Amino acid sequence: MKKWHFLVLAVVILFLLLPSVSWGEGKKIGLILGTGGLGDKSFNDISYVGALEASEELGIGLDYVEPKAIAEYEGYQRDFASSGGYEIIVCIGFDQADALDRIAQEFPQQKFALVDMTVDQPNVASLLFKANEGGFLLGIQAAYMTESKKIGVVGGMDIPLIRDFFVGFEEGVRWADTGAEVLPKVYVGTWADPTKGKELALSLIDQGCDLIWAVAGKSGLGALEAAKERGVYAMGVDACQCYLGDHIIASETKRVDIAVYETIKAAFDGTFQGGIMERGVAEGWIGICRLPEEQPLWEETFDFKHQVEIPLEVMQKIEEAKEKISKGEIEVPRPPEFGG
Amino acid sequence: MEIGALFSLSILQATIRMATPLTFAALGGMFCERAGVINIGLEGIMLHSAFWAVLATYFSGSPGVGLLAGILSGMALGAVLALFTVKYYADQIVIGTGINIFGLGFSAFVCQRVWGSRGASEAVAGLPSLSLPFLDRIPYLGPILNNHSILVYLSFLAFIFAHYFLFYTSWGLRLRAVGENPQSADTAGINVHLYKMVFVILGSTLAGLGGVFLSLAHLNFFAWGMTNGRGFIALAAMIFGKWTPIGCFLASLLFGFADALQMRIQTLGILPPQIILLLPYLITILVLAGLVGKATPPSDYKPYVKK
Repeated sequence: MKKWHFLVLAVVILFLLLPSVSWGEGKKIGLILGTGGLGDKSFNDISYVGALEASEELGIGLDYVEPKAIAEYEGYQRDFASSGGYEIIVCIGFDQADALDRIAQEFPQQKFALVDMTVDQPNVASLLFKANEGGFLLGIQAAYMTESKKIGVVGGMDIPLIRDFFVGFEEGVRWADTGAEVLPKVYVGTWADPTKGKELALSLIDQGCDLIWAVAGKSGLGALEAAKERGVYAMGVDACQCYLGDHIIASETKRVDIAVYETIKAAFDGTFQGGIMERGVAEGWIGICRLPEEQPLWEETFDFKHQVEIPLEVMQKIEEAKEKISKGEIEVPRPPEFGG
Repeated sequence: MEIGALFSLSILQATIRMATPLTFAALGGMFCERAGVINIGLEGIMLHSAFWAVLATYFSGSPGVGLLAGILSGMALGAVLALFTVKYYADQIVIGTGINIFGLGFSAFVCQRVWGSRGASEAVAGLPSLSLPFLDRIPYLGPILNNHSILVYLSFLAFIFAHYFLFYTSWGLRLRAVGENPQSADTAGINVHLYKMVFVILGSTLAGLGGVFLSLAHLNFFAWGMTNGRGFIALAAMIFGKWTPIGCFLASLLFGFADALQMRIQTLGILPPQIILLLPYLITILVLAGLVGKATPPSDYKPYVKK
């Protein structure tokens, strides 16, 4: 083969690898998912749902990529941005922040959105969630559903991001005032050790907990499994995790779909703003999967079924708290790092 | 929680559960090193077996098939390590590291294809636990030892068998000779390469069982990276145990206990979790630096080239 054959081949391959950009048409939506990829039944899937909804409603194209490692983020961000074919590029996950900080400066005219982390650039909208408020609602439910009045929580790492969940949760348990208490919080120390997660949950159950809340990524899957094995209730996080077993009675949900959807719409109708967008229960960015407005998403779009009924009085209590938080009558505490 | 709960039954049961994967891997590493091959790939071998065990169970519906797949996976990677390091004199650390990286990449890739998610598999049927009525008759010890997974009992058998084999059989004697002085062993008519091959494969298979314990006995699913450094902790346990089966077992128990203790101290809520989480690592450093004394490896780990 002659040398120019290779050259042609190389150019062809290069174009195949680039995200498809349609010149001449209107600008599209770019979505750079987290390393977990589609199928994670969590952040990535739900972000995709939001982006897809925006794409269908606005009648514009959506291109998405699934990077396999953190090192790949920067390349995808640059490819998307340098093509000039995207009105907004949405980046999912806190670990894209370092790369985005560089790329956003390289392409100051390009609009970006980042989920779950802050990048301090004028062209980046940082979408943050008040996890403490969802924790509060979940805490109310936990306080009512525990019979032994002892609740255990398992965290991935003792960092502000996770403490934010727990501070709200403990306050919710107190607010419900059913005599239930949260045992000292335990941490796995890593996100990917379900074996340790399970052992920690077992040690909590051995001390009389009959409800376990896991906020620990893959380590948390082990904690949820421990609850299943011992026949006690458990609660999930980020997205509805009730598909993992009937014993999981609720999950705190970060509605990344809504956040992504609203940000994309803002980008296309010209109201996009850079900076920190921090929303909570009032705006519907945070909730629990058992709320009436959320249940259809989880049960119909994702086909996750809930088995354990939640008594009406508990749901009413949660609704009451939700309303009070929205109106500002209840102020849910936060860790000092988040201005609490 | 009361301080007294630290010394409860559950902490000792947890110790055994946490120690089992380490025991398997430490024994596995020991057999490899006794044969003169450093197995730095224990971590990847464990992860691989953990993955194959779940995959085979998922498709066959039988955890027995999963166990077999985990064993075969350990044997296969052991064969790779043996082939490259014994036959082709490749660098042991390079091949071992390659196995570790391969374990991470391969499991993520297939996980994505089969379950549509890189993070974790779906739940499968796990290996059964064993209830041995005669154990209950032993006071104190009985309840601690009873009702564990069959792999826990297999790990007990493995270390007892390994001890007998290594120090009370002529094969064990030859194996030790192959590691310590391959030249002399060869002169004495021992097939050095064959011994090295067989025991590297056997050792890797044992490490694989440790992985199967994690995914199919302790849990019933696979999560990416779920071994979480246990292969390397097992290497430490092996050195701490001075390359003897009993030493490996006791060191694994110590590390398992440190972990179980750490978890229960956390529930006391008296110390910041960051400090408590240090505990197992602190113990590792302390025992390796102070208590263990001089650790003399059983081999110089050089590839044996027949003259």
